[in-house]
Amino acid sequence: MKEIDEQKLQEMLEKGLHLPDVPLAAGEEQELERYTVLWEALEQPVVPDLSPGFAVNVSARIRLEKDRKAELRFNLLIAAVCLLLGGGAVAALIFFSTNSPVLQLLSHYGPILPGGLALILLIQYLDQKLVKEKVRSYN
Amino acid sequence: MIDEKELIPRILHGDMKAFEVLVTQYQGLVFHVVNRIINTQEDKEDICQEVFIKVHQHLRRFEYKSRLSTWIARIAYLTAINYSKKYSSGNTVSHPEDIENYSFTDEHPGHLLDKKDVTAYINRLIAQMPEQYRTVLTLYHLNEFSYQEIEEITGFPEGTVKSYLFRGRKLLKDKLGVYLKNEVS
Repeated sequence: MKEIDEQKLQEMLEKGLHLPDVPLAAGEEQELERYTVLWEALEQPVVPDLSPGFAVNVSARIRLEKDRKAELRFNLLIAAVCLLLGGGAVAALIFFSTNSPVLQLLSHYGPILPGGLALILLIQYLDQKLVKEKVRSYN
Repeated sequence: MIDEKELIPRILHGDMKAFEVLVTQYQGLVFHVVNRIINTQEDKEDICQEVFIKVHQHLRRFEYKSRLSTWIARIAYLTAINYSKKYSSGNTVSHPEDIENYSFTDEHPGHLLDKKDVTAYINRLIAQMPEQYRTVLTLYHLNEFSYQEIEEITGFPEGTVKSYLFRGRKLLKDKLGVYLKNEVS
């Protein structure tokens, strides 16, 4: 069968099978029959294999993600405020009280404080990351 | 049928119940698209969820220039394709030029004859076809998108969509001929 005939048969089926005025040849009729069977099979609805509460699960996941982002924003805000206040306090001590015991302590254990703060922030960051991974694995 | 113009503003105002209505309405469409591109059963639901999360994130960008179903189908298509490329473990077939001579691994339908199920046989054949054929056949026949809409969803030019459809159907029809012949004899 020529390709143009196949094209014609497919177009007929696309338009809802209006048989042509000229009768079809035996081979063409057989092809049309096969195409008709194929068309019916292709248009058989497929039942989505999704969990019954799919829509609820999706919206729960979105809510969880929103909460996580809000919490992360809040934590970052707290960290920024702490940094600002801490930095301000250290600056005030340096500029206004050269002999204070706090400053002496700072100069003695100087590197530990910013290091500790960085560690806390790192723990916060890792915690958020792990929570996200966990949320993903639960879903 | 839901009224999109009434539903979308509600979702944008944070109404999650309205979003669940949208998910319920389009989960079939998303599943059909994802199902044809992803072969691993356990990943399908996860990817469908990802699709709807993206729909929720980007809904503000929907401009009513196309049907909402077309817009969602495009997100589903791109998400599934990206996933498939990222985690491809040989379940996707590259783009064979010579589709007429395409050989299915499930060449002989003999073991399916006892099921007397043409649809199951066709679906098995489609699952073995290259991704672009699977996609256009699904979008056209199952989801009833037009050529233009399939072009919008997949990015294939309209002529290519028509060509994939024609060649895909022809290939399936030829295999079906063998199947029907075996069933009669």
